[in-house]
Amino acid sequence: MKYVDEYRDPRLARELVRYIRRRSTRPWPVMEICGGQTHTLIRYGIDQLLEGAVTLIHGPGCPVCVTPLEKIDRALAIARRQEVIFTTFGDMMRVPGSETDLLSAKARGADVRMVYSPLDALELARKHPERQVVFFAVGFETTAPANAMAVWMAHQEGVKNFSVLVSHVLVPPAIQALMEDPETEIKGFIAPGHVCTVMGYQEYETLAQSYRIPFVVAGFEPLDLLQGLAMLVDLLEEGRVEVQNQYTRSVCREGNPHARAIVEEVFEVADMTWRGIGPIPKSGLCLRERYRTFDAEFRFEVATISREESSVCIAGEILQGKKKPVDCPAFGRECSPEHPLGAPMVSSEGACAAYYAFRRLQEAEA
Amino acid sequence: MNPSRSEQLVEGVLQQIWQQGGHAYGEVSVGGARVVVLLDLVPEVSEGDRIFFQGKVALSRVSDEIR
Amino acid sequence: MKFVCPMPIEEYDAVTLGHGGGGKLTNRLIRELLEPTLNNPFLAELHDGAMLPRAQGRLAVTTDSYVVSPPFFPGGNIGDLAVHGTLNDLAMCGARPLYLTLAMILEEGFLLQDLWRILASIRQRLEEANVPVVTGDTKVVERGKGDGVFLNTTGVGQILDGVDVRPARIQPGDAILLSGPIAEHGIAILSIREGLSFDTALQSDTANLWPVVEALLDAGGLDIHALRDATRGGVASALNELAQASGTGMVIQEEAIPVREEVRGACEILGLDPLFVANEGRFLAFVAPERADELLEVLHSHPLGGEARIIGRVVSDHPGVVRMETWLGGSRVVDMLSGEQLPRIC
Repeated sequence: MKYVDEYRDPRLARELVRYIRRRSTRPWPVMEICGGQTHTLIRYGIDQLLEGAVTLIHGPGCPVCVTPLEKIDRALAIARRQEVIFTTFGDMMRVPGSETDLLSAKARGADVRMVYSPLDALELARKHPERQVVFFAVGFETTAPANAMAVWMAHQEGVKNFSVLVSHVLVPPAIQALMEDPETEIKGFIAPGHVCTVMGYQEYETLAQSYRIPFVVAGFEPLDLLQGLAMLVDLLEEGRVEVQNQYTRSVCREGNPHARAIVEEVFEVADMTWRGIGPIPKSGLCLRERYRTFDAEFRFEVATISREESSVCIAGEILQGKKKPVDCPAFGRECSPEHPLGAPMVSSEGACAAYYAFRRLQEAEA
Repeated sequence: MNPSRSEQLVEGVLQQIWQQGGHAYGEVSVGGARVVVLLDLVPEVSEGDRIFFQGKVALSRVSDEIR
Repeated sequence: MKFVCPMPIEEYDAVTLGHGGGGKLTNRLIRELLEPTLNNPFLAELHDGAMLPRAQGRLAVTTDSYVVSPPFFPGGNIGDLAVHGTLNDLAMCGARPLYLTLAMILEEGFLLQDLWRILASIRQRLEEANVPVVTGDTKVVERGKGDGVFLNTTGVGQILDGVDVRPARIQPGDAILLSGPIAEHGIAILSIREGLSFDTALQSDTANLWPVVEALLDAGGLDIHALRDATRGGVASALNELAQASGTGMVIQEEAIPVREEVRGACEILGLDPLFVANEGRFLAFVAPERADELLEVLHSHPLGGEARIIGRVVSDHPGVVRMETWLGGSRVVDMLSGEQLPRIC
């Protein structure tokens, strides 16, 4: 059996597309929260295959996109310090701060390195005791266990030159914020399978009941998403409000208790500002008091840096699914993947970047 | 393309497990490419299991159940 | 020999500023290491430049610098790349290689033993291709001002008669041939940097493409419209560049693009799309559609094209844009890279 190929069976995929199209009586507006899922939908053209049956609203689930401007500016301030090796996942390198991005800071001499794991950053700290190694701990609940692990291991081993710049966001409070909006059109959610792998889906059961809206927890392969959407359309057509789990091969209702325990040990829930959306109460994570020495904002005294966002960019409304990227006055003009104003244009998982690529095709065909 | 995407879950087959410095590690094969991941958060896994990992930390054992 | 005229390698184990200073050490580096290694009558003149015989027909010239990090990787080293890369650029012009030049920028402290390994590879690749290095240059920069070794090669080649390959000749209808499985060079290099290993050894695909290109041109003549090696930015960038240069659109089939299993696995781990990963021994050919199958057979009969595939076609719709038909029946734009951060791979 070849890896992943079993989730990429074209015959089965076409059957699911036919099923969804047959089953759906209207173009159900549903949101996939997670940017990884947006990426798959766009990459395989699933959104087009389902046109008329399901209208996919791309949610705020790109952690790169929602990292607040001031966090980026704090990252830059830390990265510029002589003694610092600043480490990050690749997708944060080009996210614009108020003046520049990490990649440009690197070009001007900052020691910024792309890593694949916070554990790699910790290893750098062990190897370079004379330097300060900082990891940009960004992400949803999915990345929280690895980040928590790195902090916990540094604590256990007494690694003094390692710290994390935390910008962790939580999915359920964001869904709540979206559903509190009286104008919302969303009728159903595809819940993120990786987040639920860690956290389980009990929180989504509460949300489903509060807002009378169905959820399907789904994975990231094209077949996962097609099957998840088929289940969601079934629920919508039958008017059922429940949470179903498509991603049973990874997700159980309680999530991963060991992962939740380490996250609980190292982090606590905190208020968080989402780029483009604004503050959402209890929607993020910060380090607990006893791990505060590993907090880079505290260690490098950058917590006071604060910034206002660009007034042209409508990233917030786009991330909430209220507007399309083409509604933005800067779209394709001041703002492009080469010169992004807002984060949804940076990440290939961002809605603006995805639209930008497709608009090029449409214009070329016109 | 997005090198080193932060939220990515990767699936692979656990080839070998060992203990080092109080932690469990495993070598995972993803279609023949091998990488070392931390197994502390999935203590129930054994060699030959399929797992999901993120940032070189295993997060779940992939069950055989595929709907 | 050791007492009479020791090689610099025996007195110093690493490159010093003196090796590039133009004095005795430089002289010895050239006379005792470079000249004998790259041995040919043009270099033996020890002149400031090479004086070449009159050539017939049209010439092609290309230059390229090589800064790959690390300089040694599975399947080759920077020396292999410096020869193959420039020969391949000539091949993409339909030109048989005649001469190369070689310039080296060495960082103070670079091990002479490593330099020797690189030169030995260069020599081997030159012999295989039967092409001489006719002139060269060596500079040494202070420690910290370089990254071990940078190379530059310039190539001169003679364009075959009855051949005209260039982007402007790409036309709607053309079949797009890809010479083999992609992304192996980039993944071979990234895997050492990221500590990945493989069930079966994965190596850089670095290769001199001229022999297979020559076979293709011999068979196809003017029906070969354009050639492009898919180096930096991978197949996706090569296709985009040519779509823009020729004002045509391109449609490729996802399922047709060969990617080895372990390369796909590594891409999954590293979060990369193999379409954007560098190759050093793979090329695209744009050919008249009625001859596509026959020319594919020509590629198949050659070791460097054994796994060649027809991956798509040129269209008049959406000029300048590359579209991919996914295995699911969907469609997406394959865009250029927007300057993502990647390690130096060539």
